[in-house]
Amino acid sequence: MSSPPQDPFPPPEPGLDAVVRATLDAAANRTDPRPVWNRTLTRLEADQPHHTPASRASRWWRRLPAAGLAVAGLAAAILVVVLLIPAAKQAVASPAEDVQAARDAHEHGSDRRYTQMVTLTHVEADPLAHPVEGGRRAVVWVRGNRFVAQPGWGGTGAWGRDPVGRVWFAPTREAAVRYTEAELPPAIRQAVQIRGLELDALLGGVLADFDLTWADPPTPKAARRVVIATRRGQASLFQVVSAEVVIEADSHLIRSLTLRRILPAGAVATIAFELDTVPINTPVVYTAEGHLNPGSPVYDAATPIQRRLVLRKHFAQLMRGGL
Amino acid sequence: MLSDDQRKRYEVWALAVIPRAVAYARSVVADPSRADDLVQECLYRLLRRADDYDLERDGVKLLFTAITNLCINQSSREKALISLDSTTDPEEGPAPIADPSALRPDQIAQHRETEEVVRNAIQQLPPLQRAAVELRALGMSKEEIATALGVSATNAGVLVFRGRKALAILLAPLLGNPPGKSV
Repeated sequence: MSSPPQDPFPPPEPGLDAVVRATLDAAANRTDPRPVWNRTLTRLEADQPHHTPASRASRWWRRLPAAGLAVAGLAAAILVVVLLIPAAKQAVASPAEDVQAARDAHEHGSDRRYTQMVTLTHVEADPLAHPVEGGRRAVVWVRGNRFVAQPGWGGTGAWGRDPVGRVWFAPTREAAVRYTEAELPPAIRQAVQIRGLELDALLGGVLADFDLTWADPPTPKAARRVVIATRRGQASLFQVVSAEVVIEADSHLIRSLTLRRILPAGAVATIAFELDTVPINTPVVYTAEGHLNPGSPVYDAATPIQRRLVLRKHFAQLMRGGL
Repeated sequence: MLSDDQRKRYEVWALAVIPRAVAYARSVVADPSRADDLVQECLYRLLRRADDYDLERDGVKLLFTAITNLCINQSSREKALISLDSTTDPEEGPAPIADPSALRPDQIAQHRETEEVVRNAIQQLPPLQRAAVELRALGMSKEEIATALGVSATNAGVLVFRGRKALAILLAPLLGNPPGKSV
């Protein structure tokens, strides 16, 4: 297994096939397979223990003699046990199962609004070191993997991720810029994932790479459960090192999420999301166009120079105004 | 729990396959933001039963068949099949393409904006043609494409032919070939 694997895809025929293949390969080269693999592995490993006890129980029941008296006695015994141990045997999920349930509930849920609060350590020493962490308090609407945060970086406008996965910034209502995910540098992509509360990716990472424990032993009557996640091994720069997730027991809704993230120069950013309400929003708020005056442009890969100018202007103002 | 051997074997295979699977899914799925999830779901289902088949030999075919099934909805499939009934294109031989000497795929794909042009052209193809052309470019045979798309081998050939033909027209300016010459 230590030898490099053979490419499982044969080379294409020359001509158009090769052009199409080169385009697919270019997109593939920008894809990090680890997140998909980690989530898949987590599910595969979570599957394994579930089958054995169930099937063993089933076989055990089949081996019981058919004597009615014995069955009746056993049923009575089970009834007594159930009555004497009322709440304790109502199964409380494991932390991992709770996080997975929250992830599923988020994926199929409607719009939710969170208040986001960012606190930084050491920022006084080097206020320009963490421009992407600027904007201490914001409102974040999420729906699946789309989101919109107001105000945007630097405290003006808005930014978000639209239904087709493009990340946009609208610092003013006069112009916006937009990037496909593949165009974003990894550090910015991570910031987008974290600041935009991309719960599916975040919780997938938590399930794959973190040790999960309860903050307090859960009871079946508790309305909320608190899961503490601690990264296994060393966290690298910009990665989340620990998280605290508060999950509603009934709906699996995430009430709050607190992430601690490593920044340059030893600083740590704490990003806390708190659920405000459960309102409905209009789909257009998740797009750049929803935050512009009518007719204002959105610059993307087709207009790279204008796009760069808009961002440069915004960040120059951001630096001049301080973080 | 998976054994260490299983885990290593699956991981090596999956890490080699996932990037192209995601690239393919993003191209053919109606909602590209769901592509990663779809690939993950297909991969999970496939590996859960990996002991039932030869992963190295058949894994790619099975994975791409599952992705195709999840990505392409029934309505586009039915529409495409109706249009295939009236064609006699397979008898016309291989799809005429732009002058092969003008094609330098490595260089063509080097620049992101050029890549964007090719991707946009691919996106203009109907879903089944797009899937057929991309599966062909990934090295699949006509029979394997037919299995992935759930059509006959003849229909798969038609889809590849028509897809290439349309693509040659769309990319004629890029490939330095006048549109009229490429078809």
